[in-house]
Amino acid sequence: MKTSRRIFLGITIMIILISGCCNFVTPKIPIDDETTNLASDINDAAIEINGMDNAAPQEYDKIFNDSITDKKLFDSLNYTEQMQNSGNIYSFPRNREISANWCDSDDGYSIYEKGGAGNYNDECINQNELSELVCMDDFNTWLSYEHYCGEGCYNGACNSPTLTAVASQCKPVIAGQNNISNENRINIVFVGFNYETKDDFTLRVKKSLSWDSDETRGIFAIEPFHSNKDKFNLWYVDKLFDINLGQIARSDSYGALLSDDQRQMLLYYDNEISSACGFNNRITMGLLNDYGISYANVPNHEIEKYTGALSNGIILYPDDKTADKISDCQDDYTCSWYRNFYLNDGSPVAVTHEFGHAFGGLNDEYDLQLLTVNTSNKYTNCIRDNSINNIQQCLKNAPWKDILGMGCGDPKKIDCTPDNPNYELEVSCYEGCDYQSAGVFRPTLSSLMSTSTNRTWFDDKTNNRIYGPVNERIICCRMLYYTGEAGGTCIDYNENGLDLLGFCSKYKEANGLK
Amino acid sequence: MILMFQDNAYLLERTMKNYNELKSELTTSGFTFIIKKNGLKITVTLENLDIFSRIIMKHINNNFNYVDIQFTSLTALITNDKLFLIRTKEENDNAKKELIARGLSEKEAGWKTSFDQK
Repeated sequence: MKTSRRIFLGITIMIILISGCCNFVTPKIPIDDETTNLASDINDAAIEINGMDNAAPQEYDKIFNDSITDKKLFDSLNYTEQMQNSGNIYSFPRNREISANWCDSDDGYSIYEKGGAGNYNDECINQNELSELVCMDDFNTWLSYEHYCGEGCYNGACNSPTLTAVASQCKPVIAGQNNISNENRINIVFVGFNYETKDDFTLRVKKSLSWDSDETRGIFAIEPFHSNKDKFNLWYVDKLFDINLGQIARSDSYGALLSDDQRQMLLYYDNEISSACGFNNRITMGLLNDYGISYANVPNHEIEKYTGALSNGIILYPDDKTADKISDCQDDYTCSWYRNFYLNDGSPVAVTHEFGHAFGGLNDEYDLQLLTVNTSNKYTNCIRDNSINNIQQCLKNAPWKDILGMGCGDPKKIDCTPDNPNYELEVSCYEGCDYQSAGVFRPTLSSLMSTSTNRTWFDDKTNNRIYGPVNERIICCRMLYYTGEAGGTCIDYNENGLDLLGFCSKYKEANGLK
Repeated sequence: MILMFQDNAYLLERTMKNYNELKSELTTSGFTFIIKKNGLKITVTLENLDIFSRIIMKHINNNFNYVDIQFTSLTALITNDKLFLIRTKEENDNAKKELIARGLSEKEAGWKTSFDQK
């Protein structure tokens, strides 16, 4: 049983050599001729706007700074450095792909093996901190990451995890539901980190699944999983694990921001522990007693090789005591959002969202500027293709062109208007997906894989098809791929002239699935 | 990964001077937006609030118009000369009082706040 939470000094990333890396510098806007010669008084905050002809940019900076009602707060809002120190938050696990190069002998970012870069080696800075050298993908530069080793550091590598479980600790979540003689079933395995009691953990497992009740928006409350329950076995590891993650960075935009190190550690444990359940076709969902941003792997060959399982995810799901602490916090700007989120049982929806990644291979559909990653999206929910440069070309060429209009109103045409509650789920084309705002297209205005101000989908209990038709169909393909069957609402994509098998065949080929 | 907000700012065309120039400046600075009937929907993060505010301030067409941006537990309110950062009812009341004194109607001073959405 856990007796106390320990906070260790954080994991920071020291950039020793930077070459075209981590460009989070806020751009400066040139001041145009209209915006000059401002006068200000911070006390009454009156700023003259007229006659501002010739002020230098520095003067405008001062005036802008003086116009802010709470300068201290404003300064604290800039998390650029914090994000930088947390590593590239969107790179995992893609950073594994930089492994095969000459300058690092331990397979890239590999904290459990000693390696090196150039003439330098990974080394222990002290008892618990490792300096891990990782090559950049230009093969000419490398970074040094300071990694906190939960199990201690020895001879240039973190000690291997000692959190293990045995097969007898692999328990069914629902008595009589699992069928292990059916080898095609997918095994969902839950692992709990840092919970005080098993009851705390298992209650959250049940809420995450929504097996018997749709009260929470867990995985099986939502289609196409709801109507395909017979393709899954449900397990949990009946042992509680404490894990030292070091300090978790927090920001108002992103909540708790697990660093690459922390995620790698959690996903590693996730896999190691769930292997006690013995199935190769398993998806592990790690529940961590904390609040913040959750993550999941998107399955592909690299990850399958890495995890030994199909995929896994980490969901930050606080117990009641931790949730109470969120209510108490004074200076943490994430508090109110999370308080609201947890009061409305948001975590099971987060599990369903992350399961969309882990099972369905779906991308996040966020349309954001300034955050860019280059992912290789093929025939999936974010489409980037040379033949698609605008909305019209998207409507003509997107992989979902055969189901335009589904999700709202007449399923054969795009006909919904914003006053329809399902308007945002109607299949069409919108620019912006996968954290990018241009050049990548998504199928619906919003869905469970994204949010919008109007519809977050996390507190909406009126619709159980909130992945949206395009994502549902992709999940159905994954179901076919893993289990050989797809029924329930997946049939919708094989009727009225639609050909589910034909689509899935193209999807499979485009994504290189064996 | 779940983000907490998107499209958290709405710019009304009628409150802006030189609307086309504004759109062009936003684009140049890396912002993208959805053009709606009466204005623009845009996503602002805390990381780019600084640059966004600087652009917007120059374009608001009189001293009682404003753009509000909703974050998780913070509301930012941009006028043509001031960036209000609002976390509490008191801060909100002060901002409201000031804008009403400038000529804003009571009804128009009803922006959403993070604290009243709890």
